[in-house]
Amino acid sequence: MAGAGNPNGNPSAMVGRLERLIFGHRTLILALFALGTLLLAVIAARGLRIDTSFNKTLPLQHEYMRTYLDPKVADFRGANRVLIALIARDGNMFTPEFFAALRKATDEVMVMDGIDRTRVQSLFTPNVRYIEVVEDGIEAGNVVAADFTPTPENLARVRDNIRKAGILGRLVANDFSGALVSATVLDQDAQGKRVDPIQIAHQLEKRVQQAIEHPPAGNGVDVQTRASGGLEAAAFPRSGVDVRMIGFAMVMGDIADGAGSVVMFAIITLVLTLLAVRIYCQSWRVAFVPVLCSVIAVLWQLGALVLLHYGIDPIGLLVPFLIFAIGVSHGVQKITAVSDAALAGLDSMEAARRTFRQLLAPAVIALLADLVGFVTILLIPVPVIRELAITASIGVAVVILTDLVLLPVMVSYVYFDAGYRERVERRQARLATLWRHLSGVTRRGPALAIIGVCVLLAVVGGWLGRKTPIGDTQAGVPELRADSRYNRDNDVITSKFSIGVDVLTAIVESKDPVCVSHDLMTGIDRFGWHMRNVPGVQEVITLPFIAKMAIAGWNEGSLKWRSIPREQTQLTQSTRYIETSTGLLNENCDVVPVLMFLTDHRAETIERVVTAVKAWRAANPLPGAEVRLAAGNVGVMAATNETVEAKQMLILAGVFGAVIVMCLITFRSLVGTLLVVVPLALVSVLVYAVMYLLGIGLKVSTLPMVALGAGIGVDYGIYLFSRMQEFLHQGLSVRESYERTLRVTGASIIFTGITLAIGVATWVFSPLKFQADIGIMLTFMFLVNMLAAIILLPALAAWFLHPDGLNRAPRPALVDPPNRS
Amino acid sequence: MKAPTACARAVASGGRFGGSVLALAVLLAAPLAQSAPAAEVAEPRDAEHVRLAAHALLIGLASAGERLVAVGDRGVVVFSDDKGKSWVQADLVPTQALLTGVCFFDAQHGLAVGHDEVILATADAGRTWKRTHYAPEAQQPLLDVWCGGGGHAIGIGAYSTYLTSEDGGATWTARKFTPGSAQPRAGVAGSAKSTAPVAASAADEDNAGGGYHLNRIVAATPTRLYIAAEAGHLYRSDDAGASWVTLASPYRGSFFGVLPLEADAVLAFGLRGNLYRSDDAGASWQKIDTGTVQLLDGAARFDTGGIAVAGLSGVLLVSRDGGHSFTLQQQRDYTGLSAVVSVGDDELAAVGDDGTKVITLGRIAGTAGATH
Repeated sequence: MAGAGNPNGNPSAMVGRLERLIFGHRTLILALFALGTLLLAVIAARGLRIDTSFNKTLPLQHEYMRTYLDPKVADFRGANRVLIALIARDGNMFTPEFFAALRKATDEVMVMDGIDRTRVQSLFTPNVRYIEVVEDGIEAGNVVAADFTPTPENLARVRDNIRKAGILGRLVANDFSGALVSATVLDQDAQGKRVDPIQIAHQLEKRVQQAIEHPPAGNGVDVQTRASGGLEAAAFPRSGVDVRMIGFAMVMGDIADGAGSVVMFAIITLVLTLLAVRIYCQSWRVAFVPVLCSVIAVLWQLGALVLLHYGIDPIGLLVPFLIFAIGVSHGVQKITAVSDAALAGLDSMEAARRTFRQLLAPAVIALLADLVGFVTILLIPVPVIRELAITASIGVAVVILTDLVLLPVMVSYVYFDAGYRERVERRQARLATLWRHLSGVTRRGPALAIIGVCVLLAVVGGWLGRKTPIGDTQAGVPELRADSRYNRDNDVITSKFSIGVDVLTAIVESKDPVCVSHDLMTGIDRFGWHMRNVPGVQEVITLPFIAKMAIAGWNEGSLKWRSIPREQTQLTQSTRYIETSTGLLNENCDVVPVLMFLTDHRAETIERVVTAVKAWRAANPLPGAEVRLAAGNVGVMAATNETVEAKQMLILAGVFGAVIVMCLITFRSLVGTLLVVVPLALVSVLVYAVMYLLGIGLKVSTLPMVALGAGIGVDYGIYLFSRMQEFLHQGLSVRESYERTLRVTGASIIFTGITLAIGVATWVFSPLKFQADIGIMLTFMFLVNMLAAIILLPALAAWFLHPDGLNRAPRPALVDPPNRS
Repeated sequence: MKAPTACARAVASGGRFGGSVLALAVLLAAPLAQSAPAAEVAEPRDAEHVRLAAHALLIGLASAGERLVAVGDRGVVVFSDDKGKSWVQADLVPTQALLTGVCFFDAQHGLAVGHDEVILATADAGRTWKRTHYAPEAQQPLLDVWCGGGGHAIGIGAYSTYLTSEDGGATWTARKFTPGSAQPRAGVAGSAKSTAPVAASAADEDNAGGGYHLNRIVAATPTRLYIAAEAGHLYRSDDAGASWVTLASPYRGSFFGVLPLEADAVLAFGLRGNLYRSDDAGASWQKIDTGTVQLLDGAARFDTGGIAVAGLSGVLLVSRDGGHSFTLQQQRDYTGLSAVVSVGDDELAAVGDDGTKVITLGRIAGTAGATH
């Protein structure tokens, strides 16, 4: 590394040894890479799978998640729930067809592997009961009797029972237009096998949705008959019942489906990149080298995933694209240097060797910076993100191998013919004018203007960026677009029912049984009522809520008795028959959840509700009990949001710290480091502003991108300044140094920015919103970092470096800058 | 220690509500609860001011001049000055108990009662309230209150709790409720669901007063009062509550409301859609078909002569013939209604399960139909 700054490009001893080692065994290296690629490609092809496990998305160390993962809370986690809503298209659910469909849906869900059978709830499950008062006692029963037949009388009775059971809005639409089947997806099935939510989603689509919406002819309401395959089913006419499904599994299913388009994006990216490299290199033969090397890097990375027993999760889909882009952009730097050498008259072998010597250090540094960017992401304590960090780091390590070893070796075989040299020379001549104009930014006047504009941008960007919300900014599922099927289903369900899937669960944990304590029962009741009144809370369900219904039931149904009794006998009675399968208490009644159904899971809603919980529990200590946050999917989101908020500064500090240290080591110059880091910092500020303007929240999927973008974005500055520094060391002025740098590497830097951007820009068209968001963010960061490097860096150099060279003190007073135009 | 009478007599017809298990539970729990000293009850909290006060469970509804005042769950008191369209929560209510009844002496002075045997008094038309009685350790919820003339008031409740005040509710005296049995009790008439008598109820029959829950107290005139009570009991007083007589009851299920009509006519209603009419101040009764089995709770008369009886599951019975026949006007939201007050020719202010609402009666009786 130390030799990098050496003005004559003489190899240090180590670089020399490496060079001899690599170029002395070219055939062996090619053979090894070929073998490795073949092997890993086969492994990848056989073992690669889309992987979505709910627990992997949890920020495990967060307080809420410690509650969430507490074995005592196991039955109340409720984050991995699916709601299957059957909606009668004519708005009336009391028809034989609807009840047949609902029974079928319930039956199908009940027998599905990976579903917690005891927690399935619908009108047809025996855990949905009502209490009714008759003259001489109480009558209780299933809302839908076991021997139910859909006669008009029975349907009318069911409607009454629904009311008595207090499930309107929860299991039945508020306007009686539909009903829900609610189910919890297990983490592991009965055999201890991990349950794949995508599998569940696809099964539900086929066995419930398809079968009900398009029942096979002839047995439209026959609940015993399963629908045949999806293709066939689709041919049948639509029934009068719509099926809408929401929940984590359904999100994952839709994401996995959307992810299928990734192959298309990959092909488009590959073709576009190849074309771009061809235009840049002026030769197909040459263009193939970096593209091929990058494809190899991606194959190795995918193979490594399988070897590590990782799958690709939806966020991780991005990694191969990034690796490819990084591989190509560094490869292009190499190719540029080689073709320069070739122009200077060297043969392919010599050109390759000289490039190897020249670029080893900056390339290693730049790639290490990428690596650091990835590694910093490890600071986000969410397993899925840590896997992303690890796999991406492996990818970058592979790129170091392919671009620094394989690429020079391959390029040494490429024959540069006269035509190629001519084409490259012609283009260089054309570009020379551009470079001369561009180097004008190092004149102090324009430089000052540029710096001024950038300061203004930083201020405005910083002001806007501070408003970037943490978490989700829209209702529905942010991973999917607002008009996706899932989000439309979500709209329908939340509009027709009082509950959705957005549940924040506070856990009341008590030393003594809550059920027999008037103080605790009323305390929880007050808590539930307080929370119900917080804007954003749509419904609160608690044990006291049901107990009050029950005690009113015991008192002939009179509303005047809907109060937690003080009398011990009545109190005991009020909870005696509330089963644990209701999810409202545990066996000992010392863990009691408070289920808060929220209107949405936008970051501000979550924060408002969580804050209200904390304020209430601080002001209202419960005797012998504590209110713990949090379970439910919103509990997970709250923990995630808080984690992201807590870690974002740390991560930025980590990335920038690493970049600064690496620049200091490479350049051995404070000013040089400053020149590279300041543009980078500006872009990081601006990306926050872009996020705010586009409504992209800072969350688990986007925070890593801020780090990645900075880690990769610094490459430009490093390549640029390492060359510029060489010229400065040769004693050239700032402007002269910059113009020469541009001539040598300007085209490749601009081109690198474009290549990197192409790699991720195609994502903007992804059906998955978070991929589109990431695409926008990274495209922005790659392009703007490039612009900042070629415009702001030299402008800063004009003011912070002595115009005549590097190692002199910055000039204190105004002196005319050297004018060479 | 009083066992919950309704529960003690409960016979389960559903699987897990086994009668024997229940009886055992009552036997075991009662002595235990008795031996335990009454827990020290902390000063009650003031009702919380909340966004959704008008959507809380509300039980009682009364007029204070032009103002409507409703009371209910967790000490929520709301009032409306625009006939029930918009509601404001009271500034200060010093309890979080479930309030079950409210009445007014005049446009300013009123009383509210509820669980924890709490009684509240207001002198500013319901905006602020003072606690004048509070006995949570008695474990006897008050279920209704009547404001009479000259500061005379009666609070009634569970297990025949009977409290009186002569100073507008500032001080209260507990009295034993001992109605005389002026008229012989009629047999169980009109009940198709006649089943074998339940053992537990036999013992209570002899006991005057019986410890029944007194559910609602309503005045026909300044001196004539009715009380609707548990297990088919109806009481009448012709001396503003100084003495009571047990009326012949047509039904053995609980009554939850009474509505005096013209002269000696009166309606009594309660469990399972049972509605009876008497034209001789309760000496004899005729059953009126209602087409519902829901609990009937509150009732109101219109200036135009119409009558509305409201109950659980959105049941609203409407009469246009002076209370001889009723039409079921099922409310589409199926929420339980507890009390109603007429606020116009065809409009009712109602409270219940989902708080307050204004119900417009069908233009032509019967159009809403008895079925959905």
